[in-house]
Amino acid sequence: MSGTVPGTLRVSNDCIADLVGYAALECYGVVGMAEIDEQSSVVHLLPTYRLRKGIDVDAVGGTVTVDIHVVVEQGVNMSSVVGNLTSSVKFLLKQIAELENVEVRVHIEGMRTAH
Amino acid sequence: MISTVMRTCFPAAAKVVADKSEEINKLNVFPVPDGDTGTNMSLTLGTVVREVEMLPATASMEDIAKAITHGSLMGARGNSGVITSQILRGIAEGLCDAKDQSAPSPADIAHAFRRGVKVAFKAVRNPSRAPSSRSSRTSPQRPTSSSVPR
Repeated sequence: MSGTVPGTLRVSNDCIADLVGYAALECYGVVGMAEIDEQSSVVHLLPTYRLRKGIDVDAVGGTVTVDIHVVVEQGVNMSSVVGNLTSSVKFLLKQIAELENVEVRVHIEGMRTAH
Repeated sequence: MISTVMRTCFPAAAKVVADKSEEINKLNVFPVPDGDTGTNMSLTLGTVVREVEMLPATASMEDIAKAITHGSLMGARGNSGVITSQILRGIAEGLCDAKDQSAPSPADIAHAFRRGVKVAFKAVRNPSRAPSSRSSRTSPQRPTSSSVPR
């Protein structure tokens, strides 16, 4: 079987959001995706089946911009966690969706206290 | 005293990791196979060693635990460094739970290791394939009397 299949690969923004969500959940220090209630400004930790609500994907001019809203564990080095998350997401999108130009912005919306 | 043991043993343990960092780097396949697990763990432990060495000889277990927790938090590099920092934080907190902090019992040491694993696994939603988190689960649960620091 040939390794190359002729054609075009199109990946929807929702699918990219799901990939990003699963990559984020496997990233150490990330507790989960966050969604902010616009009326009360309360941050909700999203269940696994609603991960994409915490991820915004935008594709303009060949660059995909991914905004990830997360809750992290208290007591971890946030700078390192954000760096790890960014590289994991870029790596996964390159491997699975063949996306080369990806800009990742991580928004830490909350912290889970360890008790 | 446990504090003397920690001050002596921690730099030695960090040196072993530094010496084996290339070997550990080869274990790095997740999440991004960039082969830096050993380097990151070594850099993280190096920051802890510097903080521990700055303490006076009379430092209490709590002072050492704070230095380990703070040093590993601030010096955490990469995924494995962050995991290492959480394992160390748990162990340091566990040692401070000992009734007699100057001479913890084997049960206290086992408790500290268990706490290290518990804290480390708390900070990840899908615990899976990171080499440093896998290795923490194989740490001794029931230390023998010969493994207890004097």
